[in-house]
Amino acid sequence: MIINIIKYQFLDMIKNRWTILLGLALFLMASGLFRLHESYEKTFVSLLNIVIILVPLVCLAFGILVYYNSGEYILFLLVQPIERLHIYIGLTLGIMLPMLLALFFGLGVPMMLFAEFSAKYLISSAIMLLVAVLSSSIFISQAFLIAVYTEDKTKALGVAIFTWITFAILYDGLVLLAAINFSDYPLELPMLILSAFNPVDLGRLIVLLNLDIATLMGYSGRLYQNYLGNHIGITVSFLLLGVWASVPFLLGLRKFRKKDF
Amino acid sequence: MKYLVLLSVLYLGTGNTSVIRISLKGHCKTIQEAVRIAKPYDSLTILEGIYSEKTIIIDKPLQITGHGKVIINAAGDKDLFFVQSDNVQISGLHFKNVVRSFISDNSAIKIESAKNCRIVNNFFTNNFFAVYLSRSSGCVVQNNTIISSGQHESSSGNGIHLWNCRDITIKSNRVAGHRDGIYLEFSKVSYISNNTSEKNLRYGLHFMFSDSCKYYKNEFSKNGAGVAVMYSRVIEMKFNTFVNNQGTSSYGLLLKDIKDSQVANNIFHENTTGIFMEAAMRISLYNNTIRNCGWGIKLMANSTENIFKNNNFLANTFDITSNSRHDGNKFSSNYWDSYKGYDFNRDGIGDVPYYPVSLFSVIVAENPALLVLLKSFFVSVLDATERIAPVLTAVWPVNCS
Repeated sequence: MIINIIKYQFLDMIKNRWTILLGLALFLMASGLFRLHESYEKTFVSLLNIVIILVPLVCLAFGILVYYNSGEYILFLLVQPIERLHIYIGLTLGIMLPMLLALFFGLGVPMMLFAEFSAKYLISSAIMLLVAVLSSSIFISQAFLIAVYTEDKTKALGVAIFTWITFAILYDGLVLLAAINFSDYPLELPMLILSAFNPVDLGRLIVLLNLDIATLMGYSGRLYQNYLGNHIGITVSFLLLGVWASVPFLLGLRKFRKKDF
Repeated sequence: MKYLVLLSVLYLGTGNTSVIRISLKGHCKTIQEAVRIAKPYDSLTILEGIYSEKTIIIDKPLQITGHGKVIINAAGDKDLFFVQSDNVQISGLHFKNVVRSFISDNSAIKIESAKNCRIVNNFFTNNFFAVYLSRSSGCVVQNNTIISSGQHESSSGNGIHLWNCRDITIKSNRVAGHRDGIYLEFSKVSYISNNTSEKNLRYGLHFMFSDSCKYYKNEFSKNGAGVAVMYSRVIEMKFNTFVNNQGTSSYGLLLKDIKDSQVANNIFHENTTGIFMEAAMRISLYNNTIRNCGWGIKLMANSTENIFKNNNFLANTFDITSNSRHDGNKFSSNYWDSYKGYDFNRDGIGDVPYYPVSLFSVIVAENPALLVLLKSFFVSVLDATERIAPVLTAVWPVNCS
């Protein structure tokens, strides 16, 4: 049954063309950036901003719009003898999969087209794609969580935008404030831990620290790279991103199961 | 008078000199003995083999050449060749294993109070100091390969060490793995060119109290710091390459207490800090390319009256940082790749002044842990607002071309 729900949702997403448009837009931006910059590292830094800033915003807005637009469809499913768990999983995956396709087309294809055949490039682009995939999953499950908890579409969109602002801007502002206030103490490790509590920061760090930019930045940069630039660091941070994707999903699921429609 | 001396040298050179051959199988088996029996201006030819020698004092003008693979192992615990005479030429030898010492500067070749010596085409491996010149002048150190495997700054010596010298030419050498590749202290009017100095523990090239020197076309890579110029005046640094000098207190070029010098046509590539300037005054920096560095230039507030002209700043994380809010230096006609203004009349010069010191770079300079926010959206917003209305950063309008 889950498969069927995913299939219908998937086809619906493709039919309304927004994902296709997103994929094309990403493709144009990414290949433009690859053409503009002489070194791929600079391209990746610019791409990074798209991946961790634009993609979350799009995913949040998308998730909420899709949930509310298919309100009647969800009601229809609910009256059928289908488990609510299956409905929720189906809906989430049904929107995630087309999004991932759009990402693979928009980022992955330019990465292949302008590829430099070195191990470093392959690793960096794999990490970038994985971060993109995870950040879209994180924010789609957050969108569903918000949508399940709010009755009103406008309110949900408001909450979504606030969530995005918090993760993308406000949080870093608070980190900055904290660092300035506690500048008398060694702050490298606390800063890293703080950034683990924000998927946007965490994603950015994983990509940056595998681009050799941070090694040029002296002691702190090297220290950060020691933590995040090796296999263990990368694995742990991807696991953390996984937690960031699954916790909102589970919370949303819990509410969805009990919710009185 | 000068010619007279030269003529007499030539006369002596053609008249009474002889060639002494040293070989492990011949009747003259050690260099020590050959030097003892040699008359001034004799030639010593050392034939292929591995020689084990204690300190050899060369107190007369000699021409010592190696034929084939001549390896000279240091058997004693002092210097290997100790030159105390003018006009000594040493070439084609391979010096090995001069022992480390914490008391004396043991070196493979030490030249003391001599003129016009030439050290050419030699190899030096695993020595404490390799070539050590003190109170000498007019000497040439050329085409030598000097390699050591120093582990700690305190227990390793310098590749080429000059103390209180004048008029020395150091050319086309390769120095690696020493404390300082080339070190000059109280040495004047020397010329250092086409050398490669890499993987040294401290500096590739180090000046202390050495005025009026020039160094051209050298390459400094993977050293603690590429070049450190300290407490010196009138130094010309041109056409050099500073690559890959990475680490916390690592710089391509470190300028400290230096005045009236020129830094031109150099390339700084992938250094943690391209140029670090502290108490540097009246220095002209022009036609340099600073690329892919963490910090392009770190300019301390006590550096003033410097001129930055026609430099390229490309793909650096931060172009310039400073702990000063005042602009005591002159910037003009530089290229900044992170310039965001426009050029309406298309004269190649941007119409909006460029502020090379970004707010975030100032914050990171004070609080390195905040590097964790590098390239974040928040930081770009912050930098943009600061660019529109500068509050914290230096008021440095710098023209862009």
